[in-house]
Amino acid sequence: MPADADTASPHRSPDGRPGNGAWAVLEVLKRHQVETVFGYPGGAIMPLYDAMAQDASPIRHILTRHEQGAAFAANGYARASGRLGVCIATSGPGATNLITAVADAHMDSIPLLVITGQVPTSLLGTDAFQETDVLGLSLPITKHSYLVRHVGELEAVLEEAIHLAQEGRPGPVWVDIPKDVQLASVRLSGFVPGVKAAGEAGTPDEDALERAHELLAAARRPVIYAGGGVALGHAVPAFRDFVARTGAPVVTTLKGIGLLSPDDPRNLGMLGMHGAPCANRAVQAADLLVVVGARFDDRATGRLAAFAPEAQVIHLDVDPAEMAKLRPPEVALVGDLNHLLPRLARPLAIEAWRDQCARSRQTEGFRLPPQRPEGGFPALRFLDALSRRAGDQTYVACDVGQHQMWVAQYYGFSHPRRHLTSGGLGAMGFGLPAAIGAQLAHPDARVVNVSGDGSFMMNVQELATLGRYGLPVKIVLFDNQYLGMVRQQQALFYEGRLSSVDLSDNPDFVQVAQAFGIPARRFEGADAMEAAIRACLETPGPLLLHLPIEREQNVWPIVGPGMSNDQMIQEDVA
Amino acid sequence: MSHQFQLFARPAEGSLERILRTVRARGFEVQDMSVRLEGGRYHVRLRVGGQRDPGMLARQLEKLWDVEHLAALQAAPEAREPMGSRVSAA
Ligand SMILES: Cc1ncc(C[n+]2csc(CCOP(=O)(O)OP(=O)(O)O)c2C)c(N)n1
Repeated sequence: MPADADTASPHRSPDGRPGNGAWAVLEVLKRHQVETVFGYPGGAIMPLYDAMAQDASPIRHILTRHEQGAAFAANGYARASGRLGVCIATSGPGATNLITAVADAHMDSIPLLVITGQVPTSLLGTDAFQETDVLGLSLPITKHSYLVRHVGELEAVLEEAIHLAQEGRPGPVWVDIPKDVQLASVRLSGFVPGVKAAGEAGTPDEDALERAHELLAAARRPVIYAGGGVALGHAVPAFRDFVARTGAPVVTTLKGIGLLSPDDPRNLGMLGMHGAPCANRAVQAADLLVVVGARFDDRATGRLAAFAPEAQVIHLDVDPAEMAKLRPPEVALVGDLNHLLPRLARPLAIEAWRDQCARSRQTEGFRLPPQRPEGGFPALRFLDALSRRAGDQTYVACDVGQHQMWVAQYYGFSHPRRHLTSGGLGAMGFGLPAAIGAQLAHPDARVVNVSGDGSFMMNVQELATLGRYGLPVKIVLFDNQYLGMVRQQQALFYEGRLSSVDLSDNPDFVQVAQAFGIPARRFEGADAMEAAIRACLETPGPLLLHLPIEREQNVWPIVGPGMSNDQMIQEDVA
Repeated sequence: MSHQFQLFARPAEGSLERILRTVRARGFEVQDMSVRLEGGRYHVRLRVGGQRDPGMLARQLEKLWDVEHLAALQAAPEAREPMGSRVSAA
C-alpha cells in the first residue's frame, strides 16, 4: 500500500504505541496542556481529524465556519489567556484562508501554532490538487515555519514550534504536514527542545543600566511610553510597580491600554493618531521617553521625524531587532521586562511635571461630547457606561474602524488582556471569532464583541459557531451604514469625495442573527441606552445588539496622514 | 551604500528564502551572494545595497531562527570582485 493512501494502518496499537504522525501531533499538543484547538477539515488533514475521532481523551476541537474564523478564534484565545492558540486547516484553500489571521498574530506577536495538512510528499511540487506552497506563503507572516517531510522529524519540529511560538517575543509558527507523514508510523521519544540562544533575554547590560539611571536622574519631563510588549511579556505587575516607584506620567499604545487603571492620575491615555491630546502633548514636550515594550509604530508616532523632538530615549524590549529600527535610543535595554523594570525603578524628582500632566489630563483627556438629541444611539456614552458597569473580568474584542477607536478611547480597561484588538494588521473581521476564542478561554467571563456594520459582515458566518457551542458572547453592533473610518478620512482628507463606502443596503442584522439562532434586539435613539446596557449585562446567552448610530459621526481627535502628533485635528470640520 | 555580511544558517527548508526576503522587505537589494553548504550548515556571504541602517538589517537577519551566527563585515567598496552567485554543496 502506498504511504499516502487514504486508508492507513491503525493509529495506535492496542497499547497505544507506536501510532501514526497524526496521533503524534495530538500527543505532543496534550503534552503541552493544549485543551482547545480551532479548525476546519479537508482532504490533506483528514488523518489528523481521524485521529481526533479515535482519541479516547480528545482535545476539544472547535469547528468554525471558515478557516479565517478558526485562526482568529485561536488568536483571540491566545490573546485572552496568554497561552498558545492552535488552529488547524487543510492544504490549498484551507491554508490560504488562514493567512489574514496568521498575519495578524505576527503583527501583534501572538503565540499561535498553525497546523496544516499538505499533499503527500510524492506529489509535492507537481501542482497537485489543493497543493500550495504553504511554507513559501508563510515566510513573511510567521516567526518560523516548517514543512515536515519525514515522520521522524515530526515530534522534534512540533516541540520546537511550540517553544518558538511562546519564547522571547511570541508569534505564530506554522507546521505544514504532508498527508503521508500524518499516516506514517512513528514512536514518540519525549523530545524536549533546547533553549533558544539568539534573541533571548540575557542578563541586562550593566553599563546601559547605569546610563539609563543617569538619564532618569537628569530628566525633568520624563514620559513612559508603553505598549503591548508589557502584557505579552507577563510584566504588568512589574510595570505597575515601576510606574508607582518613578511616578512618571504614562502614555500607552493601542495595545498598552489597560496597563494602568483609567482613573490613575499618571495615566494620560493612548497616544497617536486618535490619541488623547494630553498624551500627545506630553510626549511632544518630553525630555526623556522610557519606551517599554513598544515599537514606534507609525500610528503611535505620527510623522516620526517630528515625534518627541526633545526627548532622549531609553528603549526596553525583549526583541533586539526593535532597537533603533525606527528611532535610535540613547540607551537600549534588551531583555525580559520583569528583570529590567525593577532595576530602573527609582523615585524621580519631577513634581512640577507630574502636576502639569495631571492638569492637562483634566482638560485634554478624552471627554464625552455632549449628546445631540437628534443623534442616534449614543455609542460613546454606551461604551463608557458599559465599562463602568460590566466589571473587570469583561473581555472586549473589537473589529476595525471608528468603533475600534471609540472602544480604545472610552472603554476603561483594567488590564491589556481584556482588550482584544487587531492592532498592527488592523484586520476587519477579527472581532467575532476573537470573542469566540476569548469566551472559550474564559467560559465564565463576560465577553463582548464591539463591531461595525462593515467588519461584522467579514466573519458573519461565525454566528453559527456561537450558536453551535452556545457561547454567551454579546455582539454590540454599531451600525452607521458606512465603512465609517474610510468615510471619515475621505471626508477630511479627500475633499469629501465619498467612494465606495456606503452600506445603506445592509441586511436586517436582527434577522440575520436570528437566522443563525442567535437572539437579537435593536435599540434606537438616545433613550435606548439604559435598556441596551441592561440587555448586554443581564441576558444569559448570546445576544446581538443592533445599535443604529448617527451616520456621520467621526473619531476625534485625528492626526492626518504625514502629520505630526502635535497637529491633531480636534473639531468636526467635515 | 553597500554592506557586507557573513552568516551561518541551518540548512532548513526555506532558510535561504527567509534571508533573501528579509533583505528585500527591509529595503535592501542583493548585489552579490555566495552560499556554500559546509559542515552541515550554510555559509552565506552577502553584499547588499541600500540607504537604510545596515545595523537594522543585521538585527533582522540575526532574529531569523535559522541564522546561527552573523557578522557584519566592512562596508564594501562599490566596485569589487563579485563573490559569485552560486549555490554549491560541499
Ligand atoms: C480586511 C480589511 N479590509 C479593509 C480594511 C480597511 N478599513 C479600515 S476601517 C474600514 C471601515 C470599517 O467599517 P465598519 O466595520 O463599519 O466600522 P466603522 O468604521 O464604521 O466603525 C475599512 C474598510 C481593513 N482594515 N481590513
